[in-house]
Amino acid sequence: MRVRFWGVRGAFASTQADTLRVGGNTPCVEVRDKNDELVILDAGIGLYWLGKQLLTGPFGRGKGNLTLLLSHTHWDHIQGFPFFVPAFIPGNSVVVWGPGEAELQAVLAGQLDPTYSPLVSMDNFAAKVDVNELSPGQQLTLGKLSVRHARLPNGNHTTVGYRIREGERSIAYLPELEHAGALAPAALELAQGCDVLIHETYYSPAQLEAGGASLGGPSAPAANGHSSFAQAVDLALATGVKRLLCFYHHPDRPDAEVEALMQAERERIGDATLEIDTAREGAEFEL
Amino acid sequence: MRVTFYGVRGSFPVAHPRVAGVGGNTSCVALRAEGAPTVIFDAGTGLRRLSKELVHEGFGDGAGEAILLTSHTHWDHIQGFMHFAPFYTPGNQFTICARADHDRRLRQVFEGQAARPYFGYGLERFQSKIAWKPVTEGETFEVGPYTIRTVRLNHPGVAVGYRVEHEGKAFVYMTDTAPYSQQLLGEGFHERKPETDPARIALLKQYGEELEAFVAGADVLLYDTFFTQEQYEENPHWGHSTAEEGIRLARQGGVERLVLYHHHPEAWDDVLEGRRDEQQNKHAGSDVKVGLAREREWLEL
Repeated sequence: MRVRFWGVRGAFASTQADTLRVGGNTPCVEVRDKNDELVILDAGIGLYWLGKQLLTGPFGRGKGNLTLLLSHTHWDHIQGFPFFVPAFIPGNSVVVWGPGEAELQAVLAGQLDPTYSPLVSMDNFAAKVDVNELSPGQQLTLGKLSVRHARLPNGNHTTVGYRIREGERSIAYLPELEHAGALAPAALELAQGCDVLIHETYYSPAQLEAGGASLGGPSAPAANGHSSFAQAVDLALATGVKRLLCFYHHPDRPDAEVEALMQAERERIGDATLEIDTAREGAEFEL
Repeated sequence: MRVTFYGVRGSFPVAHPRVAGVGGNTSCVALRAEGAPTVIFDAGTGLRRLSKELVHEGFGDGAGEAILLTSHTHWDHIQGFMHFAPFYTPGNQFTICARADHDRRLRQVFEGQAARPYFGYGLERFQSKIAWKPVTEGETFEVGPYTIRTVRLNHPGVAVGYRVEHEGKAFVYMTDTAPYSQQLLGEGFHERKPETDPARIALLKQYGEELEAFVAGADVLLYDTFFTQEQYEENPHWGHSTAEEGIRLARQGGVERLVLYHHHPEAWDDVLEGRRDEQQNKHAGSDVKVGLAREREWLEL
């Protein structure tokens, strides 16, 4: 399995130069099995740049197939979809899976409404776009990849976390979740023993302690439903994960601060065997 | 008055080192004048950066007053809206202007992009006082000390251009629009289809003339130059224009300064600077000065 990051920023794209080493695009992760079967996790702005890359292969000729797995439909996880160029090439096929509580097809179409977009309707994608809702406990087999999922707490709603396995290797993708009080049981179950855990770290431990930091400035409501670096590390330790990749960074978090917060965690865990790093746009790893 | 750029990019925010100089945030511009409310043009991701300055200009204490003029409500022009801190401070006052939607109230248009299933909460969290003002292209209205004129722009769904006049100066904010030359854009989905019907060609001409009259005599024209000439020829149905068309409008209307704006996501810093220089050199003998909208820079009028 190969994994490549195209968007690692949370909530709002960050364009400031001091955030670009980690990366400023909203969530998008490319996963490939050994036969190049393509699964994409979330459709943030990073999806635009992945789409451009895909045009150099079968997607440029209208012969591409992919599966898009959505964690949820907040803007930062779907805003790249209208700019995904392969979806405008006849012959390509995009199969979307995501949470079902709000009629996924209608929610995705909602961002194309003429009030908000020149695309007007899902019918104006030239590729075949199939939208499916996950049922509880449903497992997917995509090429050599086995996918299972679980609902994760996230403030006043839920998101979907995914675990993807090829042979003996697996990753867990937990892009947005809240550990209210104790580590979320669904997250513990999903991450148990995986090789790489991709976990959100929107907050510093101090910000979480202070009740969360707002996105818009001092007077705006604090975004709730997020985790801290320390909670991601605690989950990784509790599940025997080998490698943690911090993900979904706050839009105001400069690269240097991400490094410092990770270094603080490394020092906190002492001799425990856990590699702590961050997901970085453009970075790739193989399992 | 001073016009400052907070977001100069079109389509979506661009997090890329090759645009870090000019800037990657989507549309947002602020006009400030002594003793007058702040005028904000569009609420793209640049609004969040503006937000951080405004909290030090009275909006942090609930003493701020601003007018938000939105060209249209396509996503890249409103995506900063829910992230604007001054909305959440009691005491601040806003007038929000957007083109009247056919069947929806303006508040509903903005509400539709917030709350479930797209965002964590909705407009009910706002604490400031908001007056919603639907605008119709062609109308003129007064807000505070400003006279604001509007014009129809050639964009899918139709956008509105604004001319703000104050103390003898005029600033024109004109994005998103295709030239009124090949294809007339309006309601519904558009494919590439240059006009052949004489009635529609006549309409193109009429709207084009209205636009020329609208910019005439302005001090600054901030204009949608998303496309190169070649890109425009391929995509006259996208509703975006070129530096060449901006120059033509500015010269025709005796505009002092043209500012290139609403840059293509992949127009890298060096490309944009080259384009500005090229236009400047080509028109060195004319009265039009050509500038490039860059984040955090400003113009005095």
